[in-house]
Amino acid sequence: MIFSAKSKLHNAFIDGLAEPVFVFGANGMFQDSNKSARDVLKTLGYAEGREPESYEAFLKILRLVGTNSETPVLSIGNEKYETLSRKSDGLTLLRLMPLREDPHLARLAVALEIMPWGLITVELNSPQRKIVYCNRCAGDLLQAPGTNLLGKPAQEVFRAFGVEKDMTDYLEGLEPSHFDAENKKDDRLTWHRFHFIPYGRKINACLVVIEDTSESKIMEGQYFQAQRLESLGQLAGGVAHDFNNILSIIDGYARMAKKHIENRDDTVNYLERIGQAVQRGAALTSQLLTFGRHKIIKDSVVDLGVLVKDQEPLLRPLMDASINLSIRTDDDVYVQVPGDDICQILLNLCINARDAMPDGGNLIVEVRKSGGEGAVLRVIDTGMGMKPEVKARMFDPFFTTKDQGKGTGLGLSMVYGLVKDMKGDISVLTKEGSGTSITIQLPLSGSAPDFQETTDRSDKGNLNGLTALVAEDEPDLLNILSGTLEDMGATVIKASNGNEALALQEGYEGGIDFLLTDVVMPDLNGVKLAELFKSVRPESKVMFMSGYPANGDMARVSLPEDALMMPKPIDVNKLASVIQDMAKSPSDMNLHWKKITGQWRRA
Amino acid sequence: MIDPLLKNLKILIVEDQTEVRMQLKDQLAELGITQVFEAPDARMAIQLLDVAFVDYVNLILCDWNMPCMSGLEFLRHIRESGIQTSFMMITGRGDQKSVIEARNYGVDGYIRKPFTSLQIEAKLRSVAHKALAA
Repeated sequence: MIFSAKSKLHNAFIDGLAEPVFVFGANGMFQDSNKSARDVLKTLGYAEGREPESYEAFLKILRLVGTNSETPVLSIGNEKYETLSRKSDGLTLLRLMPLREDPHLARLAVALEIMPWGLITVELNSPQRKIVYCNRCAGDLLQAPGTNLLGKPAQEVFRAFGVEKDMTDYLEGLEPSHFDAENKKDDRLTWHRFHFIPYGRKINACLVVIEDTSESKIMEGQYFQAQRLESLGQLAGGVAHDFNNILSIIDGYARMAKKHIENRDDTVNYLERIGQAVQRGAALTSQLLTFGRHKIIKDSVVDLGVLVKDQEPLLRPLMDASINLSIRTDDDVYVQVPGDDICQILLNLCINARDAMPDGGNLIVEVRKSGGEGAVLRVIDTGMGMKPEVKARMFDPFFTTKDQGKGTGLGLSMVYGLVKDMKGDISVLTKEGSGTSITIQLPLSGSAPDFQETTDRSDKGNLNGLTALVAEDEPDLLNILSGTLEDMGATVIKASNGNEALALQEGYEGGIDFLLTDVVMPDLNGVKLAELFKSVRPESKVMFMSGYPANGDMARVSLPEDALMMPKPIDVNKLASVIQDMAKSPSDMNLHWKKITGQWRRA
Repeated sequence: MIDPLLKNLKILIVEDQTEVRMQLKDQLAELGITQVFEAPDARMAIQLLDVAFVDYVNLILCDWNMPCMSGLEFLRHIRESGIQTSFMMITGRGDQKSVIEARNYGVDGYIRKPFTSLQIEAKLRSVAHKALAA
């Protein structure tokens, strides 16, 4: 041994180390090793007492025996080592550090395994896009618990879960993305969000995180329901008040007409006012039915100006007498949105505007078409305005400046959500003490609404030469309807029930242009009557009328998909124009109109 | 659901073609009408009415074209005998002159061949009230 006194320390030091250590001199020649190093030499095939030649030569041997080209890890016997070398006092120390599992990594692996989100890794090098990692939650979610997803093509696994859509674009996307899947399991709806996170081009894999979003979806539904109820509560007061007013008007004019019956002009005037009051009432019930509907109404192209104007009978009773409401609209502002949502938004903004003007003021609702901005819906009030800190939080859920019990703070957050859903934008201008202007921008639709009310009213009311069979079990209504149609020039066959209608048409030798029938009637309902009538008079048209919403639960009978429906109370002008259009059309099966939000459209 | 209005009809079918009689009988059964009597020609029908059914049957469905005695001749015969039972003519043609003649003898309606179940129901409902009231 050539170790000096100083190197004895080295000797004791390296002998004390558990890992193999080799010591080489300044010239690179082997000098010493510890016990575990000698064990390594034995494993490498060195004879007892034989030493490594030089540092460089020994490294070459190590690499030759124990490593492959890709990893710097030595594999000798059952052990794996990392090579570390260090120069000290002219000596080179070569340490073989055994590789042990990193405790942090081990903990991380357990955490990934037990986390409540599904986690899978999909490799993208092969066209099958197989799953190469899957944690327990993903296994439970995507298949029966305990089954192995490893090695299976990702798309196949997604499809078995109920996702029919091709996921290739999501899996191969260079940016993170997500996809929401809706499933029905044991008659219960569940929702899951699949997050797709690319690892990067080098590794070429995609991490998919699956999150069960059912609870938040249900909460979201309850949240909207709560908001709807709050608005409905606000409405009820106003509507009841307005309805009583309408009834008082009808009652008053009816009494006056009776009293002044000898004076024809007065009587006609009173009767006209009764008619106007009835139309006001009809508009109100129509709006309430729209508002109370729970079904999701699909987007359709609507004229925003007409839609907003239609809300006027609903908004006006909500305003105090000191508030001056004016609605200004441009023509032909077509947007593709759910009409119900616009009504909700408008109602919320107007209620807020009203509350901002306790001492009265002006409330302006504008619909404008602007080339740069698209369609603009603006609600302007001259109220108290907002402080900057209030403005900053105005769209936060549950944030309210109203007294307890007067607002839940859901209104504007819902407005914000709905506008975003419509791919629109919302901006606010406000100054404390001067008022607030809220502007909603929506993308314009390229096309006009599917059906616009006929603007040509010149021939309205002319049903000369047409023959109508009217079936209605309410005698007053039957008389009124028949009288109205006769006034327009039609020949009317009156039937007080379905069987009578069939008997009358059987005895009638001429043609019958259309059957106008109530939907709900005793014995033979309108739908069955229409079916039987069409079987013997296939060339005739059929139109239904009902006080219930089309195909609603309350109607008890459901209309055929393509039925023409007129809501009660009957708007005589609309009835005439629809009959004229119907009479002109080759078949009533081509026209699918239903009353939805106060304007006629094809369903 | 069987409509009581139709269920109370008692019908005599006068038709020389067996298949048409069978088809009608089936369609009437679907509507809940089970009191149905059949005659293959007008003479047999007259015998039936003479013997027992005149006060029992409340609707006659009769073919227009039959050998020996036509539907129109049969109708004229029973009306001249004072039988006012409701009467519907089954016909394959729309001869305007005969139709008017039949109308004068008090035919209550026409069923055009070929007919569907819906058409039969429509025709029966159109005449049922009068037939039952007689």
